[in-house]
Amino acid sequence: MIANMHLVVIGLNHKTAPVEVREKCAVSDGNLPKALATLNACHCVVECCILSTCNRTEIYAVTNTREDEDALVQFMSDYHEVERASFEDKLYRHHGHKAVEHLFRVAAGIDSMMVGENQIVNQIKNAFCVAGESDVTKALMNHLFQQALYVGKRARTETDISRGAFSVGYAAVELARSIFGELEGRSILILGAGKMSELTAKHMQSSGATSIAVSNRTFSRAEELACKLGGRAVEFDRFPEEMLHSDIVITSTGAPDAIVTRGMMKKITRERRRRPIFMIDIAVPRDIDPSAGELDGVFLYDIDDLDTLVQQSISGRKKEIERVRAIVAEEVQKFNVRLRTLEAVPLIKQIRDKYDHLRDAEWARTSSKLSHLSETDQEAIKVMMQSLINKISHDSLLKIKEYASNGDGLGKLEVAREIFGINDEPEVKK
Amino acid sequence: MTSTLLGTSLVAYFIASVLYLANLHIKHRSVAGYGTTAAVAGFVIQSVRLGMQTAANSTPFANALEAIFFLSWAIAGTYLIILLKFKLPAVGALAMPLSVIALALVYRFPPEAGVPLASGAWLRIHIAAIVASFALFVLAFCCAIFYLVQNKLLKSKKFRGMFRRLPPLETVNSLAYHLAAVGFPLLTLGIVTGIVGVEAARLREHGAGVRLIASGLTWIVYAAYMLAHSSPDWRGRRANWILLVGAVLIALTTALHGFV
Repeated sequence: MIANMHLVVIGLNHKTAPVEVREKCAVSDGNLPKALATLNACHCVVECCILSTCNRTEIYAVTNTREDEDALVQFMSDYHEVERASFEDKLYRHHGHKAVEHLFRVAAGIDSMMVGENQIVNQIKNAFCVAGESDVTKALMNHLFQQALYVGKRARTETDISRGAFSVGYAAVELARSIFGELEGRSILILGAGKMSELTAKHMQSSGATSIAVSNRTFSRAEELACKLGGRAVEFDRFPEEMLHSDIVITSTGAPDAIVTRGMMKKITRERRRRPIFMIDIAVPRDIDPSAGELDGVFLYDIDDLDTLVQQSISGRKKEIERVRAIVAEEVQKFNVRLRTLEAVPLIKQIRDKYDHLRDAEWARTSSKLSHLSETDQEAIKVMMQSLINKISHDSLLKIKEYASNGDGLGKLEVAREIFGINDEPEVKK
Repeated sequence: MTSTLLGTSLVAYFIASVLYLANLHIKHRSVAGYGTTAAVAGFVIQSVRLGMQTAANSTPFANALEAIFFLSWAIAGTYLIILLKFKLPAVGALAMPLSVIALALVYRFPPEAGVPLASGAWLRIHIAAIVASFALFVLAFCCAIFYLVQNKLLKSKKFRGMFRRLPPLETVNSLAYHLAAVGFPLLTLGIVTGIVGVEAARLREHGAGVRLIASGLTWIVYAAYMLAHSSPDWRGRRANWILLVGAVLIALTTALHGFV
């Protein structure tokens, strides 16, 4: 059955299509079940799954023939009501093991805009779950996506592909973690209610930091941001006091001179008993006197420091791509072997069905002559018959699986089909 | 048999040390896992050897070399507990090599080379408490080294190399303190029982005075650390330097007890 099927992926991503095209072809989470149902209704689609993120829209499908992939392109055009010509030249198409390799690369994060990002794993998981719930996946697609998720996990645990920050916000979190470990229960003080400090604070919050205080010259803006972040506003002249209890300080005021001096920090660190304080100065000109960073227990970084960390992480991740490619190649090979084993599944089922049928027929013929036996004895005979069938078929079925997994056994499967007298191919389409 | 067990555990610890050190540089995350497997295997073998030694002599430390063997076992054991609780394999990159050094010393010398240790209840408590405290201080020393290196990297904004593989600053700082906080009363108990034991057994052997001075100095240094950790001026970098001084004194005291 699988030998006659065709695995294909067609799609476009940030490398092949500009955002104007990507947004036209995207399928939102809410519309995904409907889109899957529409796609699955095409006569040639046996199984399907749609992966749609802000950077890619991809249709994975199992079709009866290679030519059927055209129906997928047509589906994209019809479903989104866009001219084929407007996106067709931006599409990539991969077939068979190339399609498998593509999904594995995507899952491993090496096809992402931000190499090694983790979000894609959840997006794949979500796409697969929705397809499963919509009942449009079967054996092949289930195997493929489960394996892709495994590859994603393997790439991230065995290499540093997802290690390090790829934005200033993440860089701040990474540095905070090198100082404090986990950020649960850590308190943040924001000086200056700017957009950048808000974003950085949000990263910290999502990493576990709980308490947030916002201080701004204009108190109403401090209140506004505090409300947004679920924190509290602090009057601007009270911020040094607040720093005594804060673990992380983010400054981005528009002050022309440093508002946090070395002298102030010296006093504060002493009062804090040199508990470490992590300070991020994203203001230009800087809000914190750089020499304050020399004090024991003060870890001061400006926007350039964070950017350096980001650049280093990105180059570090790129160095890991080769190792991830090796993992992908290994997993594609393993998957192909498993896929070939799947080729034998329908034949094995047909053989089992045939034996079961023979058993039932023989029982029907003989049972009338055994009516003198008790029900327990009759049951024992049935069990014996089943056991005999299992034992007789065991070796031959194992051999069929082996032929299939070796890849060169498709001809041998045909021979097996003849030997066991299985002439009909099982039905392909749903 | 016991020497085979000793050799095998030494090899296992050595492999663990190499893997843990490699883990600070190589980017394959299972390296630390293999290191832990080797460390656990070595620890199990060493525990068997310790059990046999204790059964044979009715004490785990009949002579100074056996006490060093016990120290190596305690260092590895404490490290494994820390690993279990805090998931900090980086600490193994220092703890396991130190355990290897202690074990290699035992392996290097024939069993009879160790100075026989006086028996008696007080002195047994003395040795057990001192060795246990030393194991804790050795681990505290490892944490202090990581603290100082990570502090230096963070301050100098050098985010390359092992920066991402070192444990978080506050974690090692607090771990070092807790290890020392448990080790310090044990050390005090060890010194007191040592003095009482020597008096009770009327042992005025050669070198006892020097040992007492070394132990006293060690006690003062760790007392200073305990104070420094709570002081507003000394907590952090300076306090961790004291742990390094303490480790030097531990090495000195161990050498004085083992070979003088």
